[in-house]
Amino acid sequence: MTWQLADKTISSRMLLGSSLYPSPDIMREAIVKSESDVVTVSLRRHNPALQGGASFWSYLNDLSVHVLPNTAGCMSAKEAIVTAQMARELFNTRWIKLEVIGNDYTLQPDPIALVEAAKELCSQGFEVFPYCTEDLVIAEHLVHAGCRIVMPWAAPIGSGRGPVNLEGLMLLRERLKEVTLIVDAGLGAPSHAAKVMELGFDGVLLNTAVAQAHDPIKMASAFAKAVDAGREAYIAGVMRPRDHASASTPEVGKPFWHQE
Amino acid sequence: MKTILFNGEHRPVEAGNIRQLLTELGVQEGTVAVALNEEFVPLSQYSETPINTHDSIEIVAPMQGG
Repeated sequence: MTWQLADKTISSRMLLGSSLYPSPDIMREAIVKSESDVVTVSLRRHNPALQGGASFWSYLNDLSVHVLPNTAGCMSAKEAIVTAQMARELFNTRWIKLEVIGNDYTLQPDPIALVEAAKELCSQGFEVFPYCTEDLVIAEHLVHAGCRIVMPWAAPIGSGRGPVNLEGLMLLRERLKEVTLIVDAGLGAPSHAAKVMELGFDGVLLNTAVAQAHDPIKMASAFAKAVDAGREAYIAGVMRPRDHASASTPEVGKPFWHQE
Repeated sequence: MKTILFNGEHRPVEAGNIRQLLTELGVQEGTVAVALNEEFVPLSQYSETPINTHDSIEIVAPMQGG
């Protein structure tokens, strides 16, 4: 089933990073297996000696996916804005995954600079995908700044811990019904992805959990199934937990029953 | 000859503008993006954007990212 991500109609609810794979070939196969329509990319200083990005970029072009450039590593609104402008020209897209890091130990976003950069980039016509924490008030500021998509973390980038504040994520989903919410960062296992999808998140963005798996291609497939399962369960309506046992087999007519 | 800060390193160059700089560095236009003194320079403005000594120029290319 297709869904609307900003101005694009896509199929998969799994967005995938292009970093940290053992080789460009494995990256390519993992993207294919994941069936992701959106792949994140980045910008780094041009180094004629290395040509490191050239092969991966030609591989991505062959796959005809939508690229989502990031501003990874930016530590100020100014750096993030200029990086976004360079990415828009180079990748020919107005989509930008906005990262403004406030603490280089936790890679926690700087919420104040993030909102400032988001506001400016939205006014310049960018479709801003801001990477943020699960803080509801910051998410609301991002929406007021013009973001149609908000991407809260599950846990610190690359930690693989899964959602550490499920209540916070649930509150975001409940309060921001009209906003596209994508859980970005910190998911480690397919069950983590299924869990947040069951809560009604619109998608997940993964990188390390797939790329650093023993078999990234198989893991890409595993995550794709988990994301689909979680989404389907959300639509089907997950039962509410009960405090007590409740027999599933009918009580009436059971053998050996007799009145005391 | 002037000295610029190119991708964080001091470097002597002959170029008078961004277009000439890319030629001097052997970089094909369209495969990179450019910032001059922390401001983005669109490809359409390469010829009109002069380079002065001590300018800081960042030239970036596509890279894997998460």
